[in-house]
Amino acid sequence: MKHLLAALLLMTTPVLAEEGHDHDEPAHAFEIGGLEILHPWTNATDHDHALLFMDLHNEGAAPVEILGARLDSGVEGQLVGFRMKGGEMGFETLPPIPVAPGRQLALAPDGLAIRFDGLEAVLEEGHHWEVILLTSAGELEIDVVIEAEDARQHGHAGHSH
Amino acid sequence: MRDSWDSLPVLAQDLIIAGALLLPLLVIGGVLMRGFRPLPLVRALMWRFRWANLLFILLIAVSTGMGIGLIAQERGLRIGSAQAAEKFDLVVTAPGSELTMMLAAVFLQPSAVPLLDGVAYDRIANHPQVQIAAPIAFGDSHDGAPVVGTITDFVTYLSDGRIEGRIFARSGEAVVGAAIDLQIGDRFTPAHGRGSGADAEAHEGVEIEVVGRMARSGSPWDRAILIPVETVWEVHGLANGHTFEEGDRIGPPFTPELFPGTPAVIVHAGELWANYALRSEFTVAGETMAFFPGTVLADLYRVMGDVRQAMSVMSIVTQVLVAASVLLGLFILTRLFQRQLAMLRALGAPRRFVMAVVWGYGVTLLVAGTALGLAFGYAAALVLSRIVTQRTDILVTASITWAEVNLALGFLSAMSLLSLVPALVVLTRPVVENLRQ
Repeated sequence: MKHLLAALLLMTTPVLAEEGHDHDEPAHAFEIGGLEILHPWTNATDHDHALLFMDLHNEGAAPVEILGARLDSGVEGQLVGFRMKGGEMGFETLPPIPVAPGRQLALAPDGLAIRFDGLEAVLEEGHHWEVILLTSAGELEIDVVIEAEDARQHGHAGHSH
Repeated sequence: MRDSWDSLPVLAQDLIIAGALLLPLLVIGGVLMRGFRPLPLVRALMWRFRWANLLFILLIAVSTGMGIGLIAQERGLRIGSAQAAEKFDLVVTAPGSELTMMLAAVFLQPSAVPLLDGVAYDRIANHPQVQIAAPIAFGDSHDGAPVVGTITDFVTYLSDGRIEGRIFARSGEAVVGAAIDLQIGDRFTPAHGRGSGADAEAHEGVEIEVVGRMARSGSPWDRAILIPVETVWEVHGLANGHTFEEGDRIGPPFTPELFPGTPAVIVHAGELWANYALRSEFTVAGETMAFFPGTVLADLYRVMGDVRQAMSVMSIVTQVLVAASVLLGLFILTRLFQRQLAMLRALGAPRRFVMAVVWGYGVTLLVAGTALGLAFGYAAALVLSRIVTQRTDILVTASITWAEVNLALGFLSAMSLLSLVPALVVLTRPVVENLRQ
């Protein structure tokens, strides 16, 4: 039972940043139910909407569905996919997406993202944003890095954690 | 404030901008003309110096039209190319440049690209979320048009089933795009390669019969000839992806060991969300690369966006130059009729009335030039669209939107403000001296 509790605690604890990283920095990797969440990030914005990006790896034995996300304030984030329709760029709302065991899923600009509408505060570059990721394996609080307004990837993209 | 603005419908935003741009003109006009009727005199001036006026109107119209035409054309090309790529949800190729691969696979631009082998194709085609996995094979041509090898499911998907005649059912049959000058029942021998270097005799003895024609799609595939991928492989002396026991069967499944390779696999998933998962799954370092043509185009449009901004700046610089010449022209024109204006003042016309006449005259030239400029811009975009469509087969449609109208209104408003200068200068000239001239 003690082992089970310890395992559960580990599963819902952010994975330690790799050696050499400043430990004052927020973690860049998180895990829940075998699903590894790497480099969650968003763009700085003073609008009331934002897109959340991250890399997902399912290291577990069962598929995990990505349902969306929410903020402490109750604002909900929906899965959306970038699409060209009628020659115009836009996003379409998507149903939950499963990540099969051993598979990866990238949430990246002009692809898949979690969209928040109705944000109450601006997102400033260099700050962090607390978001609760909703998955079929449970809810997980993740620390999202706010990159520049025109950033196209996480500042640590390419690092292996 | 910004959120309230963002929440407005686009048309409302455009109308508000247009109104704001026109406001200075309306305010000046209202203040100057209140209580007066200067229009009959403006009309008389317009007629009296009609040829000089016409020249000025044309000068304003051409400069406004050039800027508007170029901006409208850029937008038309952007929308046309995006629509042409709309059927291509996901493309899987060997690792390399996404742009090169997209131009080759979606826009059929000749390019030497590496091939995916039978094992890679098998993995893609057998994925449970994949509905269509179309290998394509190109390199041959007929009369300048690319001959592309593929599978029947892709032809049906590409044309939405709108095919005159029928789809190819065996090796040696073809379905042609809407812009191909071949009729159903015609036969042709493909040339090896494309363009001036194509070898017309390399495939001598091979005859392909046209059995169907796709409806127009507005994409470069309108000028393509689609044949079974097996035919492409066979005419190049390669295995055709099937065992001897399978006979003349065409289409998937292919035997991986007998699959000669494909530069790209066009993937269509059963569900929209699956495309995003498949993109991650089929991007395997050193093996395969999966990309959304829409995303590559979006990146390209960002670069084009910078070009568009440069074009807008160039257009504004041109407008400023024209504004300077119009201003100079107004000075010259007011010199032409300074005697008449001096007469008005000698008869006791109020200074504001004389100013209203000169300003009204200048603004009439500007309004006529700007309106004609919008028409010129539309005509220029229409002609350019036809040329681009003819050369690329990407259906480019010309249209003038609020962005162009507001650009023209901005020019008109700024110039109406500057037109006050010659109107004021007229008042500073001595009346008696002008009467003597």
